[in-house]
Amino acid sequence: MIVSLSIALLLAGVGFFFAGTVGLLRFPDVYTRLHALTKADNLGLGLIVLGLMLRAETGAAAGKLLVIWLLVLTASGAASQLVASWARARRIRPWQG
Amino acid sequence: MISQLAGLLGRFTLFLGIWWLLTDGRQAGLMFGGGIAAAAAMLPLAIAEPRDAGKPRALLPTVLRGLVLLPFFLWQSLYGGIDVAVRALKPRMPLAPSVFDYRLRLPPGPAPVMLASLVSLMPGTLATVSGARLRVHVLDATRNYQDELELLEAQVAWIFDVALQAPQAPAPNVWQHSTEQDV
Repeated sequence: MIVSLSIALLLAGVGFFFAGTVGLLRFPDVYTRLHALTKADNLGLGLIVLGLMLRAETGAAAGKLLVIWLLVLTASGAASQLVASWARARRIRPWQG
Repeated sequence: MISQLAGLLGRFTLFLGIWWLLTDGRQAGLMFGGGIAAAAAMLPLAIAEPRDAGKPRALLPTVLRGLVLLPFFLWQSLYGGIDVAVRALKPRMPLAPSVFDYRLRLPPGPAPVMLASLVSLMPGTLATVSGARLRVHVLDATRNYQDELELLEAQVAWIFDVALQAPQAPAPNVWQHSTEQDV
């Protein structure tokens, strides 16, 4: 039961990483690509971390995975703001369709 | 004084907990980790400027209040991830991006940066702090984001225990479409 739930979470996580990468390749400009990276990849990583936590042997290992996810979440939030400000400072116009 | 002590103890517990996680709960390095955790817990006393009036802000209450709202943020981030994944995978890729300014009611400091990070996890929005405004890039310009942003801003104010103030930015009152790229 736990194993199949874990597998489902891992597969869902991979799916979001895939969608995030597709977005990174298909989306038209730096801002829209940041949307794909921050949201889809964080969610993908969160699901993978959840799936791995179900298989962790110790509580500490599970907690460590959770801390990794929180750190990546913080880092990617900061990174997306930095990239967006950089693009704005370079006066890169948002794609308008 | 009491609140400072509580903050110190809270930080020490938090850092020791992180040490415990990183060492897989092994006892061998606990003395070392305890010393480092104590030093890290005391560091803010040395580098933080003294708070002027009444409101002491310790790290721990902020962390705890953040944890209370974590389910909401996780839910929104799940929705945001699904939204952008669907847009990326649909063959005709439904995008109607636009940029808006949101006038911040949060005082300057870490709170607006936290708000911008959270906004970037919400469905369809990506934000950077620009002075007293939040510059928000949205994937779907046909939607109105004002209410969501106001709610989120109020929650961040609660987490950081700061009061919302009247918007400082001179710009217009409501959502304003800004295509010009002022920096």
